Amino acid sequence: MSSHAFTQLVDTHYASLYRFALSLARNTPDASDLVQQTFFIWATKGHALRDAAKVKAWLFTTLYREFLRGRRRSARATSLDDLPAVKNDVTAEDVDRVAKLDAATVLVALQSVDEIFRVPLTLFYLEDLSYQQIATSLDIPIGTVMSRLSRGKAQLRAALASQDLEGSKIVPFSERRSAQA
Amino acid sequence: MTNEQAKFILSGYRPNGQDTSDPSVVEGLKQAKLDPQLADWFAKEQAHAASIAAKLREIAPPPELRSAILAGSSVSGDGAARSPWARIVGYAAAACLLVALGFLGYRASMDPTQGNRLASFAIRDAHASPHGASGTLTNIVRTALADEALALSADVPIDYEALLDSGCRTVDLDGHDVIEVCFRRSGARVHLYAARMDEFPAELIQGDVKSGRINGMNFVNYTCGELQYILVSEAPLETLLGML
Repeated sequence: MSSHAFTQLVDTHYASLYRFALSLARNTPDASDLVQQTFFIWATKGHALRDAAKVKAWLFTTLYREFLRGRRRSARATSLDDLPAVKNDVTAEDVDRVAKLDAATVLVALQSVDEIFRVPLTLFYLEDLSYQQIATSLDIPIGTVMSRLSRGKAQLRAALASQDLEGSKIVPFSERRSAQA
Repeated sequence: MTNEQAKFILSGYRPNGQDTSDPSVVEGLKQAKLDPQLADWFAKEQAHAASIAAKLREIAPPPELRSAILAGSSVSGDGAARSPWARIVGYAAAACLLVALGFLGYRASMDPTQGNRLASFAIRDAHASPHGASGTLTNIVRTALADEALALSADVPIDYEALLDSGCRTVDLDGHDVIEVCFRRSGARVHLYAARMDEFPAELIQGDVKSGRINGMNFVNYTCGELQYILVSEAPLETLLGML
């Protein structure tokens, strides 16, 4: 691969990969290291990938594997699939709530979602991979992706509502004084 | 298809519309057009997902991350974390160093390059100028090799073929490609030449290390994996051997 092509590859994908890494690692240095490690692996092994259409999924898969490898924990992944399905739907308040929050708050809420659900959920919100590609990247059936997306969304909504609730507890001092008066 | 089935399928529909042509989603979309209740659910789902996606897009990577990836250096900033390139080279070094140093009784003769076309060629080439190569991968390799902590008897941290394609300096010896990367280390300028073992079968046997001095330049010729390497520098021979 030429250096120009490599630079182009980095420019196209590093921001999305970083956001995915940040949702996994929950801190900037580790997320940055994961992204760098992913591109390093690409530089050393990626040339073997003949199908250009699979590059994006390959990068996300590799980053996720590196994350798991670094953390050496994946045993929890299957047991949580037995959780009951979530029934509650998105409300208009949920939509309004997100619009009012800043990106950092949304990220914190996303990072509070159980990892098993957070991984496909982040990939879904990044919009880079289809649910089929997410299934391939995580090596899980499509049905499991849908199920985890559904549960992940419910957890995220709960986390966002909780953030909103915490925010509502902060009352400006001047208002409190006037209320007491 | 029931509404529950449609919801299941549509829950994976990305709000940017990239899945519109996905055959398995098409039916769910049709169903949503026919059923107002499902349509309302879908609209809220999409609005919520689009809103989250937009917030996530606002999160920018650290400004130095891109350049760090291209340069192969670390952005951790605390000095403790090493470049991933360096880490990988370090792992490989452990294996190759055993092979290289296992032959510590390296041979030196009056003409240490006698019978070794590659070493003779490398020393002649190292005297020539200009040297220097460009390209992202070359820069990455150069950065990795310059790391004082790394044993250069490790594999060059780039696939040979990939490096050939990357715009690095390649010299021709009897129709064979020999890669050259220049780097600075221990205060000296060092030229690293790499060639496929099978293209120079008579030069050096696997695990062998040759070194010597000729025409004012020291060289160390060693093997690792499917490649053989020659380090050429004006630096003392001990310095070069210390890099292995």
